[in-house]
Amino acid sequence: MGKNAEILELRRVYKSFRSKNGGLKVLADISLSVYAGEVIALVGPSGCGKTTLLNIVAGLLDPDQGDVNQKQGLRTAYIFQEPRLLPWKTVEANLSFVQHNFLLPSEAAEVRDNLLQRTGLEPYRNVYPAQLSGGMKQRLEIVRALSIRPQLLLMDEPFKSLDLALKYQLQELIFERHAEEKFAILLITHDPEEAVMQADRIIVLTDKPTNIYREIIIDLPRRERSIKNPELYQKLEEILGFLLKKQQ
Amino acid sequence: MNNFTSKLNHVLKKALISTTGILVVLILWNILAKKYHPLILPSPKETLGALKHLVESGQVWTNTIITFRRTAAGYAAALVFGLLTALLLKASHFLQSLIRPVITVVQIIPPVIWVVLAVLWFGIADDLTPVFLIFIVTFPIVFINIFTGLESIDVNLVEMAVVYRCSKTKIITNIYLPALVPHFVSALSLGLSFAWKSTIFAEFIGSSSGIGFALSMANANLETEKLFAWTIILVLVMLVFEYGLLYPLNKKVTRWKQHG
Repeated sequence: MGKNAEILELRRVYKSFRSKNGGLKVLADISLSVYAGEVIALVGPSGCGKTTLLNIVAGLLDPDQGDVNQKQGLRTAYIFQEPRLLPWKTVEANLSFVQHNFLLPSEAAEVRDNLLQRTGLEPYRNVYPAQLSGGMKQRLEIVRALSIRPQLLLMDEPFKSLDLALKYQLQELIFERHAEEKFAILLITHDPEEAVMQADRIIVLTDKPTNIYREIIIDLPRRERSIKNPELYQKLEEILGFLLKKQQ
Repeated sequence: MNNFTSKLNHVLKKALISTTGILVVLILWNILAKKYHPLILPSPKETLGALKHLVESGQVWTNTIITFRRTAAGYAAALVFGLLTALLLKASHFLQSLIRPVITVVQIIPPVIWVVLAVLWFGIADDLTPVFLIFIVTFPIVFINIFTGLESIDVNLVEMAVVYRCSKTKIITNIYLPALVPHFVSALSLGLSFAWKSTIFAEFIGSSSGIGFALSMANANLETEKLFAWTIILVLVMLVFEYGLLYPLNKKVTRWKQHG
């Protein structure tokens, strides 16, 4: 990974929230670097503050302590767990709404047309989100993230509520685009198999106050990965073992 | 084409049912009117005669215009103040704690008390009493609708816009305003109905012109058929506003809510 440029750095980040019984320490001393083009999966016990970490990276939360440094003008997209579409804007207007903050109108239109074609959303271009099915809304959420030609894509379990077929279809779309455009991905997942199959690096997080338990590097090209591969299987078992121990 | 025919059938069916309801009321009215003295219940025919007289003598237009003008003045003031107060209270927690209870108290006080107070304060002031009543009755309704709208703005959407680096102006015009429009139209619609009723009420008690005053005169002179005729005019005016203006407006601004 070293040969790629660093696009984001978290240095000794701490975050607490106020709660009834005083402060709730969520993140404690998290340091993490993200390099251009790599896929990082964040895995950890549920409620360990993965979303908090992602929100700090996205600039939605400020850390109590520590620094977040990012490459100047870093183009960040975020695929939320539930689609966050503007209900009063059509499919196309939902895309151009964010695109115009980053791209020139001609480039925006080209990227938009291409993505709508590839994802089968083209016939729904002028339709409002209320008229789309749940799966189509999530597809649009993903298309919106890709439509700004991001350099960093944040994903907070975006396939959680989808059926398997749709999940694979959407994953394929993202990784196809990732192969073409080489953006970095920071992905939260509760599924260690998903992490092992897709990430270049897996960051295993501890329970609250959350710290980094282990960093697992997966050096195999994505296409050659199979869960039957003994090396991958061993890594998967290691993560599962840690998560199961946490749950007991 | 098939779709169009089935839609047309649906509309016709609905219209037929609605018309039947009104027809049944008219028939019942006619039957009952035969049993009672016109002073108690004038027949539809007598009412129609009175209505014709009101139209021909021009009383309908002059009184409707007066009532309408007052409603518009009080209603417009309530809309502007309701909107401004909602925005102000949303922006400041201090003002919210200070003013919110006052608005609740204003809203709880029955309109009849306000009208009595208005007559005491302003006398039988032709415009002031009705306009005051409309304002005081309509303002809390407008305020609550818009404030609720402001409260219900989806923070998730704002967060999304922040991540995608939308400017504050872009967030206000593309998220806050569109989210608020349906609440504003609902405030318009509810407010208008309250405003219109308040005007009539205030004119009935504390004015010497307008439809409310005409109603009180008909009542005092025991001209029950005129009372009925004026009621029909009131209903018609409200229907024109509701279905000619507010309903299409509401449909237009909530177009995006309709499912496929």
